[in-house]
Amino acid sequence: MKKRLIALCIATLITFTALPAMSVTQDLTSNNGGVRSLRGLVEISTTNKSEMLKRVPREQTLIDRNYVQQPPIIPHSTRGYYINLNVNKCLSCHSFKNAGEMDAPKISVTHFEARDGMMLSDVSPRRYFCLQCHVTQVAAKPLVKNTFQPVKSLQ
Amino acid sequence: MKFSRREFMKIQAIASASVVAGIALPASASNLIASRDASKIKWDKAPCRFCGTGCSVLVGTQNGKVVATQGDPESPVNKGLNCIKGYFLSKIMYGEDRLTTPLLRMTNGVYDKNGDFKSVSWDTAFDVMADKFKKTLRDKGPTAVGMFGSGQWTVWEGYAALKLMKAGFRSNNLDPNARHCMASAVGGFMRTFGIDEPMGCYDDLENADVFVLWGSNMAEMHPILWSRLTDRRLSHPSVRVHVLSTYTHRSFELADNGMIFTPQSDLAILNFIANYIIQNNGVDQDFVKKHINFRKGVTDIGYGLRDTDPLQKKAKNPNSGASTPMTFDEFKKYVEPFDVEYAQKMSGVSKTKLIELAKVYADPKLKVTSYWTMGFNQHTRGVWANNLVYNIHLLTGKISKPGCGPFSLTGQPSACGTAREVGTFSHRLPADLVVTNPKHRAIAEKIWKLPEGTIASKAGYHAVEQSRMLKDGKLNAYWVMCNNNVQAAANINEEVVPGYRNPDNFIVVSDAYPTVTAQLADLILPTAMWVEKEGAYGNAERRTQFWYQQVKAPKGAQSDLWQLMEFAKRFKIEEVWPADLIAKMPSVKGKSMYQILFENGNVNAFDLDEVPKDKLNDESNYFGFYVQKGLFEEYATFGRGHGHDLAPFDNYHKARGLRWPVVNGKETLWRFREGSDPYVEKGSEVQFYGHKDKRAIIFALPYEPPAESPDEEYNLWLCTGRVLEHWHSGSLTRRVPELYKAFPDAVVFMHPEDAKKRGLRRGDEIILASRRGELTSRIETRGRNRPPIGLVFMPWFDAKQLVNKITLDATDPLSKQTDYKKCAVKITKKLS
Amino acid sequence: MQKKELHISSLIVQMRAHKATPIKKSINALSGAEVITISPEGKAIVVLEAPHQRQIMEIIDSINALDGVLNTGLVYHEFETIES
Repeated sequence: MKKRLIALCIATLITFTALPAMSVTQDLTSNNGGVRSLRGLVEISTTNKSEMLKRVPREQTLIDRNYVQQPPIIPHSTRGYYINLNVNKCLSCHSFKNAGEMDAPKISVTHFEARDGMMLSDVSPRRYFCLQCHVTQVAAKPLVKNTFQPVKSLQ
Repeated sequence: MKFSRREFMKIQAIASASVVAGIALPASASNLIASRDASKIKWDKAPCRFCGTGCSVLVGTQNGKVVATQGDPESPVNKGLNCIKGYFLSKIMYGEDRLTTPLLRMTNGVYDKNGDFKSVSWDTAFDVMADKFKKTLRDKGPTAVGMFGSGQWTVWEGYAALKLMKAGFRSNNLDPNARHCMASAVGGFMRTFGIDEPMGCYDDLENADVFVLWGSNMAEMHPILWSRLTDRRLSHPSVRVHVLSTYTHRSFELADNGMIFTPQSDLAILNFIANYIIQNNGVDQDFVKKHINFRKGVTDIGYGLRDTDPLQKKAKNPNSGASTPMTFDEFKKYVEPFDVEYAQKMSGVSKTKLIELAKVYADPKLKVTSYWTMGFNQHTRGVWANNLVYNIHLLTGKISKPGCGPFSLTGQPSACGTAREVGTFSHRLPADLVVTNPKHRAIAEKIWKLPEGTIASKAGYHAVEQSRMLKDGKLNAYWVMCNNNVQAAANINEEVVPGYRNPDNFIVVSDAYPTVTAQLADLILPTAMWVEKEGAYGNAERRTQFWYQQVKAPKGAQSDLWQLMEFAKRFKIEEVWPADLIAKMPSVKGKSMYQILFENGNVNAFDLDEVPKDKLNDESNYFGFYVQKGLFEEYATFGRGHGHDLAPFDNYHKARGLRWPVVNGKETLWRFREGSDPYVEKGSEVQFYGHKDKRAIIFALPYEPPAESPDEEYNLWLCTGRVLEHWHSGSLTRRVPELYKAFPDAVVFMHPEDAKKRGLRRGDEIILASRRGELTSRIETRGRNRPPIGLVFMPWFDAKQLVNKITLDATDPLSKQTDYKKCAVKITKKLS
Repeated sequence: MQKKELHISSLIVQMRAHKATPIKKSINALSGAEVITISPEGKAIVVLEAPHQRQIMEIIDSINALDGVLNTGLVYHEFETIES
């Protein structure tokens, strides 16, 4: 059954892409010449079907880093996490003070260093907005395979 | 944990520190490193490949591949930090679909515009391409040849392209994608100050009392500058942050005074502030008397649409930047109608908030820095908006000193360094010179050792005009390099696709990856990128930064520089120049364009042995001399002694960038200020020396409506832009799995009530349509961007959802930069 | 089973060059700190190793407090969790 469904999908896909490309006002329409972009092979003059909204799985296992200097990826959803002038939700679990109790990874001690190199007693304000460096991951397959290879000792 | 793991961590720690400190390791420590082949990582600096902030990164390579990147602690810009994109730089070159062979459209083995792409050799590619360019030159002359370049080109790539087009082909149809990005900022600088680029620098971030963001979502688009601003705000509780935008975004998280205004009403708010300053004795009378002229600008200047467009026909003074002198009192009277009631009515921002904002400029005790990016620049009155923000800094003298100044941020890594300073615009030459000025052309011809009259005197086609001329069949041989203009240009259906597919045209696209632009090309050239070549970028604070080639490009890919120079070899000068020009300099007879442009005694002045032994340099090895050094040194002669001084080539390989003008080895932090800028004469305090009388100009300019506003049918504003995780068209960042999964597909951000009114819920598939086209997308009613009722926001990074099918190709009539922030759309639920 | 951590950091320590010898001695005397090299201009690379972040911070503070030390810059910090 499942197989049939997939076959059906492929069939529709083929008809869809094989349709003569439509243009809004011009006679000249696109022709991708068989080259696939991040658009796939759907002609530029044609309208794509839109992707479903992808979700961040609620609980994930820790995601390995590609190199030691890479900021760790957030393995959980951050929906509704506020960070503003008054509050930083991330630090309520990951701060030095709370991490043990919350069983969450502690922020790295690099975050205590100020711009001028001084070590502070708390997170440096320049690191205040966590999401500038740490991001969540939706459940999705990469668009294009990436051939990056970490160093041997991390593989 | 294994012992080796711990050892590896220690080695990493030591190696990182040694790179940063620039200290060689003692034998004992290097033995530790050498003892483990697998752990050997070679570190070298490079500026980030992405935005105009210009962070420095340390690139770790092993066995010819990049294996890691980290923020460079020695860099004054970012002091060891990166944003999420910067941290993933190590993966941008390794998308599986890297192009490694030229691809030509063919049928039965010969070129055919309707054929499919087939792999060909570089030789064949350049044969066909040269043939097309020669035919175009013969049939229609230089104006039918053109090139669309990039603010991501390295300095020398932009410079080589400039020479190839403006001197070689004698065509001024060279424009960078930076036209879409900061042409209005250039226009504003040239009009107000007579010289391009910001007077201040990033050090303002550690010195200001108040920051005002005018149409800049710095939190996402310039995250490292945002982290410096955040640092200042949170560690100095008296510091205040004001944020203005047409929708709520991440920068509002730090805002003490956040303001959502009706699109285009920034012009009214800016004039209100000028008026408020004057009415409340905020004018620095002495400063204004000594350093300022007042002028009244011409109005009703149109919308940069085709001349045949009804809107354009209706304009009284289309495309006019003319102005007449006026007095301070006349200016005072001019802005009087812009009171707080008017500003509130136009903008929808409360009077309290507007006055709170105006006060910070009017208060002589507060140091204020204003930042803007695309909110001002992508605006049909973009040059005006830039002029108007200068007005308020000039009235109060809050300029060119620590913590005080107007600062335009750039979106590309070398929008300043390459597009602006090198002058790859259709009207420009290096160091602010222009093709329309005979004296400027003569300077360029002399430096380039070319006969008088080589450079054409008419400005070429700018970005939007290039698309229109392709469609109209007037531009026929076209090279797109280092950008993705089919995704980036407005009104794709009507003004882009037809031109690329016009049977009269031959389109070449050079890129590292197959983009949507490549899909519309006739010839695709596989290109090396970033640390696969030696490069130089210039960031938004005038900082020029160099890097060495650190890995080899995939076999088959060649750098833009190689392509530009090698292609020049295909032309005998007799095939490109008329006989009377050649007659003026008989020594050029029989030579190739390559010999004349690049073996002119300047570009080939430096021997190969000047390339450090331990560094790769594929282009120099190929051409037989230190190409990058020769190009840079020839280029630098344009600006040295003229306020654009660059340091000697070798200095930049040592420094973490230097801010020009660099005079006697010293960089300049605040231009136009005595003591900081060597070009300011002693005893004068401030000199705006871009203008002959050394004064800046305050312009009286009104509010004028946008080109298109919502109506009954198309009842929403559409604003387009970017997101933190993806850079521009996403051709690099979306090939990094982590970045892709962080923000996978574009969505339409909408107010929940607007959604409800249309029977929509979060995640519903919709049709977004304007008068120019439509696309399907999904509705997002929560998350980082929260538009007000009546406006939707959609990022443009997604190749599957080309939002520029919807946008209008209206431009600022003065800067020719497209307004991507305002057009009228409708949204309906897609019925499946 | 208790989780243990191993923290490794590297620092660049800037010092008055003529005080390099006593400073090197003092740093090496701190538990978990090791001077890798000192340049003639007075720039040193120091590696720190500790079971806890707090100790790393304490060591940095102690180095900062040494006579002749001008500035410390943290270059690298990494930690691993070990099951034991």
